[in-house]
Amino acid sequence: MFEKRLKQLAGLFVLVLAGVVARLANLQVIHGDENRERAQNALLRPARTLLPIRGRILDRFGTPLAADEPSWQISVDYAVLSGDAVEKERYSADMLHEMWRSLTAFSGEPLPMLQDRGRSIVDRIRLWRRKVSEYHGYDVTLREERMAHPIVSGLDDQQQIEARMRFDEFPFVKIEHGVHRTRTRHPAFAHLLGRTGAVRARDLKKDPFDEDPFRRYLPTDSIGLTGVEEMAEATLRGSRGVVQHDRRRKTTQHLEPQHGHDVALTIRCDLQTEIYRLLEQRVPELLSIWTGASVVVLDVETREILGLVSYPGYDPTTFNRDYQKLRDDMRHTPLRFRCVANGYEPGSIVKPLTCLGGMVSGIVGVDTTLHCDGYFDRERFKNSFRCWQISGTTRRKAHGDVNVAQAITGSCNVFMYRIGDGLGVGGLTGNFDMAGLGLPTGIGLMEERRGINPTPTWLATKRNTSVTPGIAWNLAIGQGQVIVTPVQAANLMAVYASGKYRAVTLLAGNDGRRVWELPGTRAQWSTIRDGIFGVTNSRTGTAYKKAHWTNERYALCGKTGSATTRPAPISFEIKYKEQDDVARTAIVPGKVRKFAVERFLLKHPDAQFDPKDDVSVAKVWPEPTDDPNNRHAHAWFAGYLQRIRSDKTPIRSETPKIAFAVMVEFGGSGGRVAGPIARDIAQLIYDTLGPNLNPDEPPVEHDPCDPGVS
Amino acid sequence: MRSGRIIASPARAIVLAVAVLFVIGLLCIYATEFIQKDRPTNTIKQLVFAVVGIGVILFVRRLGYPWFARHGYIIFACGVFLLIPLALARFVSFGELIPNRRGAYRWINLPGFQLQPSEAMKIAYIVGLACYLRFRENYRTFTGLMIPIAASFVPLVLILLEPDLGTVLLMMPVLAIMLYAAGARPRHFAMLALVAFTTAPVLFFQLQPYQRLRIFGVALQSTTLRAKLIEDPERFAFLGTKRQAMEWEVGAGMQLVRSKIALGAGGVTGQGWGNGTYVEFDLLPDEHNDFIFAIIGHQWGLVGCLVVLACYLIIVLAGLELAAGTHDPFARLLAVGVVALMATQVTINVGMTIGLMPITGMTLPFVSYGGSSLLTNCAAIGLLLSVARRKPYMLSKQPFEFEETIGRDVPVRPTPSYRKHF
Repeated sequence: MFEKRLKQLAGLFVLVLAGVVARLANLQVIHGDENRERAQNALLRPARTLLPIRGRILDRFGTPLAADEPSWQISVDYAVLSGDAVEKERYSADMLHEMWRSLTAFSGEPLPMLQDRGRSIVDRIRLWRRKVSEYHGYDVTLREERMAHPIVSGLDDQQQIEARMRFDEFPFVKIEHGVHRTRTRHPAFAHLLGRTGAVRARDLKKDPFDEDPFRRYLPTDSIGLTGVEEMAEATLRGSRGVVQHDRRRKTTQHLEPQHGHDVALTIRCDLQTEIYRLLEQRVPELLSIWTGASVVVLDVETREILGLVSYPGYDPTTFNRDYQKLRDDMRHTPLRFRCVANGYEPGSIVKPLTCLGGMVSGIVGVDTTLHCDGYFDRERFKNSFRCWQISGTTRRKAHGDVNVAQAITGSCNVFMYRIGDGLGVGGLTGNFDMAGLGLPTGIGLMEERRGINPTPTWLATKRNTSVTPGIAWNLAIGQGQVIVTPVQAANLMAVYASGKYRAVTLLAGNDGRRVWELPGTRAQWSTIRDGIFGVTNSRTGTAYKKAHWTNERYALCGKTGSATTRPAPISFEIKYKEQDDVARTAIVPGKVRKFAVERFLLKHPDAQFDPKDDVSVAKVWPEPTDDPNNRHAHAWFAGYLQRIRSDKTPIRSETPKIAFAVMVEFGGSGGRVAGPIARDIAQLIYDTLGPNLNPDEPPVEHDPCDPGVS
Repeated sequence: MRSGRIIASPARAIVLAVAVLFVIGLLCIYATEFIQKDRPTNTIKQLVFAVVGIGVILFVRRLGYPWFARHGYIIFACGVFLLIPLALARFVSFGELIPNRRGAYRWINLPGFQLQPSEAMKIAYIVGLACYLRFRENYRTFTGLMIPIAASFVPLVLILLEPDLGTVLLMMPVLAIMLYAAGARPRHFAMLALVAFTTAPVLFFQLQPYQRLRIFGVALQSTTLRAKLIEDPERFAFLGTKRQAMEWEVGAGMQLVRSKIALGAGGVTGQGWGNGTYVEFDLLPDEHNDFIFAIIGHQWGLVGCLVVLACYLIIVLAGLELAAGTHDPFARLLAVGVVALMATQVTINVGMTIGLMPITGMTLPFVSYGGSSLLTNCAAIGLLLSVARRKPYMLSKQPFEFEETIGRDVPVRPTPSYRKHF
């Protein structure tokens, strides 16, 4: 009986082995080939991402203005940044505090800024983690959560050694290789080039490259935030490569990263730096109270921007350290890209456009003479609408009988009022529209503001006013609701010079921009150009004294303008209470009440106050004066260089090549301040571009104008 | 079984099979180690163990099973005694004497070598059981049956406390097979099976999550089942989490997936000795140890696997042949126990390598690297050979009849039933 059981046991084992053999046959014979392939694939190592190099930004002659360069960075472990390390008691809070203090001391950047950077990294990674977790349906841990992230970057070799020694005591601080965006130190380029920074959460949410796995943003990427860096992001940004080896060191997958393309600007580096130097020198010299100035230089034919200077600028290399100071300087607002972001009333520089409209619509003819007695319809409006010469204490003679050219030369308000009266708001704003006022200039910078062209629709919807003749009269002399940026002003000059509108560009080879001809006969246009020529070249011209500039080939033509302005708040006083119910006051820098309050709430989230009653203007700038005649105004000078004969008469057959606009804030009315600066700029343009005003004229001396990449 | 002998010379067959397995094991260990690390330290160690192992075989064989029969209970008691400090180590620290490795206390550090009492317990367990079960009344009645089961629980619980689930999984089938071979009644078996079935869920929920995952890992190999788990994680929550299913190939199932790939990549004839990605690179954890069968299949394919399995089949059949051949109930039980030990180890180890069994720390006898299990298996083979050495007296009674014996061929204490028989 029991021997039978032994046999049964033997049989059982044979059965088991039969099952095993069946399984082996399945694995080795039926799925053998498949498994052999998988065994080969098992050798694959994880793919490594190859990072692209961001494209450079070059000036007109290929001088690099911004480029990626290898550098060192101080990175801090994610666990420390996110606070997990303290929670899990791996490191004490004191130690982390000490680390932040050391980082501030080492980099010179303020502590809140560094901590903000850390927080933003954590925010981005958390967002990414949520995104990935949602995709998978369970909570995942990202690789980034085990990595260190750069807090201070751009260290050179010397600083790297210093940092290594200094942060040796913190095991969670790592000194790593990185790529640093270096850009020219020169403040003339600060606004133009803009900044790059870490990708923000909103960039991840709205990622234009989401479809492309090699191009889409990762939370550790950097992105252009402002200026050309932002504008040309798609060009500058490359796409990642990937490389995969197997364990036999054979490359199984290799995709080179596509480095970003260089972006060539139309800016002339030498012109840019020289203009900045000029503003730096002349603006504080000519003005006792000043806030800033901007200059735009354009090629009339191509509308390429040769110079785009906003003064004051800042040193981009120390931006992080100086940020707080720069941000809170509400008087000079050095972070403001004035050329495109600030709008002003155009003032008299639109007068030629008014005249053109008048001539085209037949209100005036080329030779129509109107009489200016200094006042426009004095019986009805008393002194409200008068010519500029009658204003203030200096009582000068009225213009008397003037034709169109003389009206432009003398900047006769009364003449313009008449035309404006005839054209009405619709006609005037139609002209503005044709000259590109209130339209995007095509420059493409995110800082750009379109300005305002107060069409009747705009007035009705945005200002809730009906169209009155008074608005039209004011618009005819460039005052009232119309707002123009310096780039638009320069383009307006180019329109006067060529009779054609064309969108401007900062990028070389950017053809196919919108272009159109303005109406007007040859005779009408030359009347206007004669008027503009006279402004600086005839004794009756408003800018003859201050902006007369000629040499054997060229004469500066242009139009002065003044944009009336008022003292504006630069800080607010907030009366608030916190939980302890003690009344406190705080002075918050800011130009706009809303933003000042928002910023205050960031720092004092618990503060209780009424945003209407408890917030008052603490300080305005400039100091208001009681003198009603001493009104503040921003000064325009917009002009172009006209080819002349030896007898100083303009050669009409040759279209002016270079147009420009100068805006000096608080420069007063007329050509007092903007005129001399315009004259210097004309000289500068002539010196730089050579006798033919060729924008591609190679720089005379390369070195002094090469700002160099710091 | 006299009439139908499958293996003419069981002892020689066993020696031959063990030698072949030794050689295959050494070749595998050498291949993985030398190619990956250029330094065959493990191979040399294994060679030394093999020499010691041969010594153990000879020594045990020489000692003879009657010695074990006489001291069966003492050996069992010693085995249990050695387990006690390990079970206590969970609660009381013994310092370096009993170190904690991977969360378990399995080794006692002695000067010169490390003792793994649970390995020694395997032999002690078989000997003890054989000692008890050779008396008829000890297994034919239910109460008599309960005693070995109860006695088994002492070492089982102690080993579970270490914990060493693999050894426990090994001892339970050995107990069942020995009881079956000894002649336990089918209805008692049925009852035991019922008890086992009812207690299994209770035991199951006592398991650690990682242990449970290993058991369900067998099911989770199926892509369709994993897809279902990913689709509806709540309904299939008992199998594991959605994440485990999604990360199966790099997470919980990594070792199993890779072991199957390594085996399958061998095809019919294999990649050749020292060739193949899994030999050249350290892709499979425990490749020289628990998962050596995968490496065998990788290098020598289905043919190599069949050779190895044939060797075990020879050992099992020869062992059973010896069991059938002896008239001493103790020797027969001993042989069955040793065969059960071998067969269970092979089944579990090969089964886990090919994905038919949960993964436990079970070695492949004589092939896997590792001193303790090698020496244990050698001792077991020594016992088997000692059974073969003692040819039964033709005149002696058939074992498992009515006599009580004390491990010798000649009954020394006639019982009434013995007298009645004559």
